[in-house]
Amino acid sequence: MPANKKHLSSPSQRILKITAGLLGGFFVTIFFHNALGSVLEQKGALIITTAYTSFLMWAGLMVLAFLSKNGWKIWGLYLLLTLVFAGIIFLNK
Amino acid sequence: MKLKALKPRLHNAMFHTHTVSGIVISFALFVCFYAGAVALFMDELYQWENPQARIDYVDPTTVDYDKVIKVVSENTTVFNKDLTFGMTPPTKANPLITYYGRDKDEQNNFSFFAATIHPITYEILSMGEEPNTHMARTIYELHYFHQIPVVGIYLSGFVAFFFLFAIFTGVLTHWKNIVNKFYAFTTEGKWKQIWTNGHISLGMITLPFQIIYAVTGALLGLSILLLAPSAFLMYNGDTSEVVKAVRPDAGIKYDDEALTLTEGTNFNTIYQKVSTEYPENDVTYIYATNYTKSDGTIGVRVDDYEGIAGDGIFVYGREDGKLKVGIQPEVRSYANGAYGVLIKLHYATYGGIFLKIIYFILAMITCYIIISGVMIWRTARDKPIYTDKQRRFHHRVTKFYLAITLSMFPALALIFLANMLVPMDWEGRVFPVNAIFFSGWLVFTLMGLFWNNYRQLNRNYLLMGSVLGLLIPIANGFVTGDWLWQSLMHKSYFVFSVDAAWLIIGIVGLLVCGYSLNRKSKKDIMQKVKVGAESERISSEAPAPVLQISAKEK
Repeated sequence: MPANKKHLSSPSQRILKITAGLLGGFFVTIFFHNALGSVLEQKGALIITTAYTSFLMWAGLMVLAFLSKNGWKIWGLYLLLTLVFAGIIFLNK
Repeated sequence: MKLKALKPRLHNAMFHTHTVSGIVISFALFVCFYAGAVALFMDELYQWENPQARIDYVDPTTVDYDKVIKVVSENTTVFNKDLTFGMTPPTKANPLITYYGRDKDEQNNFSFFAATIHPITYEILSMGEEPNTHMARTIYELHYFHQIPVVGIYLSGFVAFFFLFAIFTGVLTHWKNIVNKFYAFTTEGKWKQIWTNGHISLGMITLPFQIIYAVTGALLGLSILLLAPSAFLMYNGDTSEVVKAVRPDAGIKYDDEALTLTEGTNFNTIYQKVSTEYPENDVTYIYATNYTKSDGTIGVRVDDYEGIAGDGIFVYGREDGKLKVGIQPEVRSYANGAYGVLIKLHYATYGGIFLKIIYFILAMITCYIIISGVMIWRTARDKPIYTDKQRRFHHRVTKFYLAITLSMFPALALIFLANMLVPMDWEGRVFPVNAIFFSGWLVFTLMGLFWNNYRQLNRNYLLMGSVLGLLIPIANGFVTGDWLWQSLMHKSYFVFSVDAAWLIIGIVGLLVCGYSLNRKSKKDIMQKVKVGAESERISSEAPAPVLQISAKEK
């Protein structure tokens, strides 16, 4: 039995969630790892960890975007997180 | 035992995204896994694919590697010793030396060449832009869509990433039933149930394997997405710093204007040094960069093919012969070793041939999971609530999908045949072999579009692949004289096992065709009785070719 339509979101919400998951999720992942890296002295171990944790995290954030009720909120959350991590990177420059 | 289910809204959201992402990537993912499963044996296939390589094993420590460089540079003009060039020492699987070099013209366009060299006589057996046989390599390149210019590798990376997403959503979708369905692998009952049960229980068994491939596949295809931002955010745009963190040897900088070197250490010295220090680890590649310049290096890669951290890289300065950068096997830091582990997890080079066989089986199960996913998608939509037009669309997609994927089996047999039948001494023989493979695959796919019944489609491809597969050991016998029993007697096990594998595959395939797929399925017969007269009437109205199935079942 295919998924029940009444639980699926409207087309505009769907576009928001897809973009939030793909782009927003990617930004959060990248900025999170680099924010960690900006505090560390030895960055080598982090970069190699990034190689596998970032895809897991990115896919997880995509799932989260689809689980959310409101596409605007999830975009807001991801942008906020990106800005926080960007701030950490900026402060540690 | 049932786990706590997701709330209906969440379950349906996951279900839908799992379906959509799964259907979108399914074609490509199947090709990745099917071609990749064969490509695991790329080294082991070499003696079969290149009859010139069917010589006795030569101890790689007895080879004069500097003589190889001399012989190659005497025989070619397109070889620039300042660009990276290198060679693979003889191994049990491939006793020839394979040499890779390149040249650069004024416009900075690279030209590549490869040569195979006999390890005892130093005779050049073949030389050209590509090696003279390319069969396993073509299959290997297919698994990351190398044949699609520029974007192929990124495409495969995204397929792997969406595969990871599909794994996450799939686990969440089936969360409630994940334990009890694990024991519910069935071959009886409704088709929908058979596909679903197989999808879930096999999916659970292969889950760790699939996560490994989703993550490492995404990494190999999309590393640029990680490296570029990191270089920008952490190192002010200097990419070499990031690369150095992952691969210290790749971070060495070379100067085109460096002084010319008159005297320096050579390949043989470095080879001896590394192979006496690490007798357990084979040297897999020995290479040089800026060879004639004062900042030139000679690098060596080693691997024992047994341990998960059995690989290593050593780069020596050419002028002083001192170690510049080294990653030791086994004893090394997390930062230096983790990348090698990820690569080994992907290439299955850490547990010998049996691990590769396990990987192969798991990859084939994954192929089944992908197919069963598409079959669930179609069976679940084969209901009266869908309009004829929709059902025709579902049927067409499924048929096209099955035609593309299942025809890979006969196409695979075809490339083995083509590789044997296109004469070895032809100039540029790689092109016709590849052309036969790809156009054969296309023709097989198109043929499949005329077979309306999935069962018939499956049987025909199995039959074609089995017959072509049985011809493979025969073709090898006729062309090279190495018949099955002869290669067994001469203990050339690499050649023997390829022929024997195809013989077994062919026979099993024919048996399955003859005993199982030729009869009408019990379920189909029962269904026919059940739907009765109404469907008889509809199906006698000579439906359009694509409609046949959905009309019959109405």
